[in-house]
Amino acid sequence: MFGYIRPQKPEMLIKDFDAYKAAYCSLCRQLGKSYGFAASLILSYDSTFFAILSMSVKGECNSYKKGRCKVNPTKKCDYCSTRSISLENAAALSAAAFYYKLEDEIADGSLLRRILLKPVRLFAGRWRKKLIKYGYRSYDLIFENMLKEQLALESEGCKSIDRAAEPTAKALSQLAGMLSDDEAQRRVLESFGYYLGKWVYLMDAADDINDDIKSGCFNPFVLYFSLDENYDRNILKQINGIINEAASMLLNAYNLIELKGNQRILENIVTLGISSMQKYVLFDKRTEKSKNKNKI
Amino acid sequence: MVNNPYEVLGVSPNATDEEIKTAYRNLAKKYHPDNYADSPLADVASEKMKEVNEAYDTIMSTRRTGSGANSGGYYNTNPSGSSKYYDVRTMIKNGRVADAEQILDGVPPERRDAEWNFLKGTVLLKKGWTQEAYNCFQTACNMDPSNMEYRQALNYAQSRRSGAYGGYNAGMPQQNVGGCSGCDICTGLCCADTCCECMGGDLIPCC
Repeated sequence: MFGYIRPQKPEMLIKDFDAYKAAYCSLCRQLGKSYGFAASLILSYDSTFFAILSMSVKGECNSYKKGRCKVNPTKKCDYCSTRSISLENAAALSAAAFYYKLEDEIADGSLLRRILLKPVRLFAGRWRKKLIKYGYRSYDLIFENMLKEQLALESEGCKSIDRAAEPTAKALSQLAGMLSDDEAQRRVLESFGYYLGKWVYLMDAADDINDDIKSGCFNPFVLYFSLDENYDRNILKQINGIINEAASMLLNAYNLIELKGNQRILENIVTLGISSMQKYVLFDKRTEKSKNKNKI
Repeated sequence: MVNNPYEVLGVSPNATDEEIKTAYRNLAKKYHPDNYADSPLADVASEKMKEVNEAYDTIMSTRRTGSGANSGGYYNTNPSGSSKYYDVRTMIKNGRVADAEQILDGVPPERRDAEWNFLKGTVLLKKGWTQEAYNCFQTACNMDPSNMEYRQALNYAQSRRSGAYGGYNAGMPQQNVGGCSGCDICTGLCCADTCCECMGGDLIPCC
């Protein structure tokens, strides 16, 4: 996915940050274990969030121990020392999401891009095979449908923002719904996933506005507001409003999730993290172009 | 479901009354029916609200034996009344959103009035189509500016957009986190100078 769902570090307690980092590193290791060393590179903040949410909903209690980082051997990190379904799920989610994102880029990228991405696809294809072997056919199907629906509405030039966001929202809704067996909780999680997916999709679209105006690629905001190269920057405030609506709905659903641990981390992400990411992508990034994304 | 009332409110059993009240108020704000107006999760939220109310009542009445505390009374008011879309409203209430939408879509465009737009917006919102729902509520309010029901729906959408309930509030200047602007420094120096002068000294000799 896209890496927009991350915590706001300065507002975290140090122990929470350590716990977040432990989940991050454990997921990295899990990716390596399940899909091979190269798969560690597709680790993302989004899938880390999914892993932490899953641990919290399922009430998973993991123990951690220190180990050496394989990507950067000079570093020592905390790793989950027990088998964790949440980490396995999140790893599968990363692999499936990556494979279909790649398919999407190959489908509508330039010739050069296609040639460059081909070798990466070899890896991704292998990961997808493993994923299905591990019993994650359902994940694979969710993303396959998402891509199919996305391409269909892009090719017809869909002008509705809501409809454009629907495939991503639906995919995340299904993935989140699977976390609980309880009927009411499943509905709450589905709603949470729906708006989180919508939020992520709209953020990605807002992030790409300038590039997509230049390249003519599909972008729901460009089509809806008929934006051209010198568009009125006040439109960004309207777009922020549209994204706020997704954010407030996801927060409403989040408040109804029965969490068994990690509440402070998750709350930091869905309130402060989301807010600061919106601020960064829609406003700050455009004024200070050279500034790097804040690294964790 | 019998839960420990203290756990429901997320406070320790030896919390003060004030702490319990604060915890209760925060939770009541969180699960308030207004937040879930037109949301398919309204039932789950009202269940939570009930739990919180009960927990609060239990704690308060056991602490002050004899006088059961009133829980503030958050009740969802369901605007109703005579309407030509009575069946559509009933369907929406019973969660048959797709059926309601089908009937609404069958109404020819020239007969789509303010109420139609309001109901269509409600259906869209239930589906999660927030942007188009917002447009519908706006049309409904433009067609019938005096209707409070439509106005309320639009107001909810607008306040969600403002960033007050999640997301980023672009209109509000962000608090300067731990920073000290040039203005702060000047004001600080002026104050210090005035204070010093009061005591007979002087920090900034020129003034």
